[in-house]
Amino acid sequence: MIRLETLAGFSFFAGLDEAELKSLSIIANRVSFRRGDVIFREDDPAVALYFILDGWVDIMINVGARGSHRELVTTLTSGEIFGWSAVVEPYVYTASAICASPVEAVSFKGVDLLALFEIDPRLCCAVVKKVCQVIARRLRATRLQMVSLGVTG
Amino acid sequence: MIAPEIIESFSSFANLEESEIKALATLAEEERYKAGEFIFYEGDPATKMYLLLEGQVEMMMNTDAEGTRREVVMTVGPGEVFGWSSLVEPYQLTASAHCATPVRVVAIPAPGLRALMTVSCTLGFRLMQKACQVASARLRATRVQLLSTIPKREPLAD
Repeated sequence: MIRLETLAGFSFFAGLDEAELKSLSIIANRVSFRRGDVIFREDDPAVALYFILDGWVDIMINVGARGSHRELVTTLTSGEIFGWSAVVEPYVYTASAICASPVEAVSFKGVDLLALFEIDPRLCCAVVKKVCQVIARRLRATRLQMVSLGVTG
Repeated sequence: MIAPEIIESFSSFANLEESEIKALATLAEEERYKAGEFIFYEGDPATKMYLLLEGQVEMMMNTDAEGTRREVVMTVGPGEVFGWSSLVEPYQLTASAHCATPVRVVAIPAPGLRALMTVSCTLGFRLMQKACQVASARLRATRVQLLSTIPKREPLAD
């Protein structure tokens, strides 16, 4: 459980009323990491979704023959989420998350977010919709990167 | 308008309320395409969601800035759904749909589908979760593609 005020003010939670923020605060957990901590690895079971309060998190994916090394795809900071596979089938992380600095974050267990559907279906739908928008935005950003590099087939 | 049983046969729409199925069936229309045709192109506005009845559809993504070259990222078969971008802002298609064979689809106009999703939380939640899954897979594929095209740095000369 965290304080409601921790989430309020971040644009990710925009459009949610106080009761809905309260419901999310009840299932939220405050977590702290040190620089270099591996929050999760690609292909781990996706247990939790994370919301960054402060700090920088590197998102990396395995590349090379048999995933021989990791490459950085993006770095996320305050106000951003990662680990959405906790609420998206098949509930396996699709990238690794490693702290580039000390990190303060809020974590939500995937099972708790999905169980919200029984208590408050509209809130659950709203959260999944917001997650979908984040994924879509990251997809657009990655495609723009490709275009700006003048990628040729 | 199509038969409600056809909608129900797709797993994404199974076990919904009868009224929800009826509403979807009323909105939907059957469409046919010849082998080699494109149902839609990457970058187009996403106006419909598609349920594949017959045939194989290749989802292709542009590999160059001009959109002159494409590669297949996924193949969709009967019983599957595509055109998920119609559910997520900015409602723009993130891949082209190429008919590898003659194709029969059920097309559901997106504005009506989105309206139904706000009324029915079950439908909304289920479809939105599925859209996340497709977008996440597409993001991963795009990231892998991007990384594979960045030239490796040469060591600096002395």
